[in-house]
Amino acid sequence: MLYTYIPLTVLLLPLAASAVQIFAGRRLPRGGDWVSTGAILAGFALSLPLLAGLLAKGDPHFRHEASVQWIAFGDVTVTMGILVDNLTAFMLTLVTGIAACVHFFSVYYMKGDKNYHRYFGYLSFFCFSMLGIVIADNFLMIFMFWELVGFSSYALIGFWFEREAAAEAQKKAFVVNRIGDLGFLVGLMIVFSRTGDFRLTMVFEAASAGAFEGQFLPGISILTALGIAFFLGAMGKSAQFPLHVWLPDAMEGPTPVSSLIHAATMVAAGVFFTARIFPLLTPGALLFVTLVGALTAFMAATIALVQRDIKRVLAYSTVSQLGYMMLGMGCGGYTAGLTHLFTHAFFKCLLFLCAGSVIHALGTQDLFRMGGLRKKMPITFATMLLGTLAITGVPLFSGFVSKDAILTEALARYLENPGSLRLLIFTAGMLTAVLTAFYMFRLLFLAFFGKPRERTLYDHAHEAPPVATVPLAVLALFTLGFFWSGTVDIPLPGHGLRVPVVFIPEGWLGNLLSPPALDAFSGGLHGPETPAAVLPHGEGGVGDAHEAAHGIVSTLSLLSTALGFLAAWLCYVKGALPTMVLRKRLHPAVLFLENLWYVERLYQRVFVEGLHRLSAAVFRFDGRIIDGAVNGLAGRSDSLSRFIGVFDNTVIDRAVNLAGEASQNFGHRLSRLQSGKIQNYIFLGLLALCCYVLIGVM
Amino acid sequence: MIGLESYLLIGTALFCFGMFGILTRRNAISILLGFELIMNAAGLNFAAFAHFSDKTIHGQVFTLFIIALAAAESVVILALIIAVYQKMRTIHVDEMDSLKG
Amino acid sequence: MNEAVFLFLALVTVTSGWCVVSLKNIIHSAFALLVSFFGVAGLLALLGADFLAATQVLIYIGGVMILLLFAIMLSEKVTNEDLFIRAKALPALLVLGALQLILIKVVLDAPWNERPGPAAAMEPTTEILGRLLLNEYVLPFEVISTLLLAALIGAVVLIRKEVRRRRRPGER
Repeated sequence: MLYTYIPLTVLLLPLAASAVQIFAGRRLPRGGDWVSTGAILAGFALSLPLLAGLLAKGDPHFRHEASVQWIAFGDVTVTMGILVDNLTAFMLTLVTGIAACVHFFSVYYMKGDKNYHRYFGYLSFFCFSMLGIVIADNFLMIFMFWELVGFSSYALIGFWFEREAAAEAQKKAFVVNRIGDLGFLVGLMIVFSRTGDFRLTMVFEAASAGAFEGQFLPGISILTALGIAFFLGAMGKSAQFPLHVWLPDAMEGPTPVSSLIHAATMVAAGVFFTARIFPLLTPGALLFVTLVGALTAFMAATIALVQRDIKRVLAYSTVSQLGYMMLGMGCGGYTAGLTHLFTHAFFKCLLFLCAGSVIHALGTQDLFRMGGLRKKMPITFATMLLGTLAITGVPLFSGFVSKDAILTEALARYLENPGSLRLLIFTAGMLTAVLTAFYMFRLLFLAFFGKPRERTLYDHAHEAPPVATVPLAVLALFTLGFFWSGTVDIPLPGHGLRVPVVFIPEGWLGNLLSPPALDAFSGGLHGPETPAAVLPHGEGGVGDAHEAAHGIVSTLSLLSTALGFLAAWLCYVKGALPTMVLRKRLHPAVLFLENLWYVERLYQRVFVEGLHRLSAAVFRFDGRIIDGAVNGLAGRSDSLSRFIGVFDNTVIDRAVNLAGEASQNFGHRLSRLQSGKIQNYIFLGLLALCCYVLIGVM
Repeated sequence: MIGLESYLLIGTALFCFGMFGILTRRNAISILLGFELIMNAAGLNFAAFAHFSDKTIHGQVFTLFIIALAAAESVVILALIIAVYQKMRTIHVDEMDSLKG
Repeated sequence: MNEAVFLFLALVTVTSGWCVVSLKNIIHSAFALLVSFFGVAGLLALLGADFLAATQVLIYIGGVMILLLFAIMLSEKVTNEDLFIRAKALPALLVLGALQLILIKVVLDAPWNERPGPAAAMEPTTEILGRLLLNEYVLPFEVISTLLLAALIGAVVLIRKEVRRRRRPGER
């Protein structure tokens, strides 16, 4: 009972708040920010007990569903419903909690904006849409809320739509998302045509009963195609290569928006969805997922190296980390990927909010105009430092736990099936870790250390008020590693040292989030084409490969983080490695990175200009051929009319005149009979009489 | 043998001559002369019928009437000719074509 | 004897009749008409219509003929021209020739309802005609008298109007 109504309430509260804000927000005192914030806080307050209850239950396969019929036509019914399991509860709490922090921060950041009320309306609407994705129990409903989330993102990116850049960015985001959604739609179609039902559990059961048998292309089964199709949607939403181009441009929106939507929640929807459809992913699909993730992670990290804008660095960082999550999930690391999702949500949101604090204080986003803010904005600095430590994977922090898990899975898969592809994936992951450390510390050093580069800006800088710093602190709390793993992991050569923390159960997250495929749906779901084939021994700490990998990974990740930190420190603090010289030396590489791997250029050239040229060609065609046809037709009908006119004048008029003249002539001749002379008349009468008689006689 | 036919033949001859005169003559009074011939022919016919049929005398009554009629008619025709002459200044009938269509 | 008289009278009548329509001089044709009237009177007498013959002479010759001769004489000035329309003669001749032939055929072929036996005796007809006129034929008799009156008045009216108009040119 409660499992139905709590999620429902949590879902609908922000919707109500959004409606109030949009329609009546202007008239409310303080622009109504308390309406939205209150709603999301209430949502958080309701989600916590739900999560606590599930934690207490400790059942990894808990599942509660409730649905109502929505549309029924013929023998097809579409339902709307709620699915509550451990993952749902986590996501609910995560989304409402982080959204609450962002709401508070926005009160500070958006102060004085003339559309204050509208901002909160959109923000609440976004929360509603995201929560909809989280609690939905069928694909169609997920898709609906998927689109709503896309719309909310569009509205919030282009919040300051008077700026050209913002308007362009919002369009780009929506369109690129849409391309991914095409894949989602294909997936929907496959699901519906094979099973006739959209509900997740039903689809999984149907899959295990063999509903998706058959080959799509030689070597690719229908089920693989389905997985890839759905993953395409996730790629759009989570900004994976090649659909990543919208996320950096989305930084045109207000920074709290960037932190909530484009760091913590919306982009995570793709990862969340991948987790939801995990039972359907075949080894082929999983390979695709991990390859895409690896490529994205590496690519984005390289681009982040050369960015000047603080938000851009963080944006590419987000893309990279999302790639990490996909990498993890594609290697069968269901729990690892989700853990990284949660940890990343907290520290990325934190990083963005700190950036927002800095931007609001200084009025610039350019890193090379900042410097030495450590003393002026201590709280911001402290929390940002914690966030940076988390993202770079320093031990004892959250990022280390989740990254460690992902890389362990990657290496374990390689060790089980050695192959150059798997090795490449793992190497990409490690390299990305090095680069992540480098660019994040670069950011920190450039902004907070050294001498201020622009004195005027520096003088005006100030720390944020409590309404902003408290959320920062709250978020920073969750960057601490022990919170997630329940243990304090000290990596030492060998197996490391593991000290359990008293009040947090060890590995609680991993216990609650196990992939649903292996246990819930038995039957035909064990074959070469099933996800189970990827994890022959199940996930998590079982099997030698896993243990061996863990040790290697811990050491290597420590080394990579240290390497990155060192490089950044040398470049930007000590000045021992002059960056200008490096830039000159590696000029072609730098150019390649600064031009974003030329991906955007390519898109612009091929799609945008191509479309323009096509439009121009079609326009010319229309002008020449269609207009020509129309004009020709007009000309022809003109000459036809003229011909008809002439014809009418000559032939018809002549005929008419002829008739007239004929009757005139006839009448004329006939009238000569009437001579006026009586003798003639009498004569004619006699003649007629004779004729009658003669005819009568004959 | 003198019979009805003989008298009738005389009548037809007189009729045709009178008709010829009406059709051919130019002077209106000449037409009147032709007209009188025709009347005579008709009267003669009636008298012949009277003589040669059962009802002896009755045909002669008709002849009487014809004589009276012819007299009256000739008077009227002459008056008409005078009137026409006063209007058209001619009594040549081939010049009287004002009703020409 | 009867036949000879009849033949003579018939010849006179027909010949003079032809002369009426063919002579150029109008006075000649008027006199030819006079002769024709006499001929008809004689034929009427042969038919036993004594009163009619007398009436014929009296009215036709004594009245109509005189009138016509007066008219001709008085119009002498205008009539000294060609009386004959040549163009009309041939067609008229043809048509009337045809008509004549038709009539002859009709007369000869028609089954006349003749009285069987000899012709009627010649007896004076005056009294009988008088009785008939006032008994059986009284209506036509009265009508004829009215007609004569109308003709008289009409003729006068026809002429008087024109004269009146001409006599007063000064009037509006």
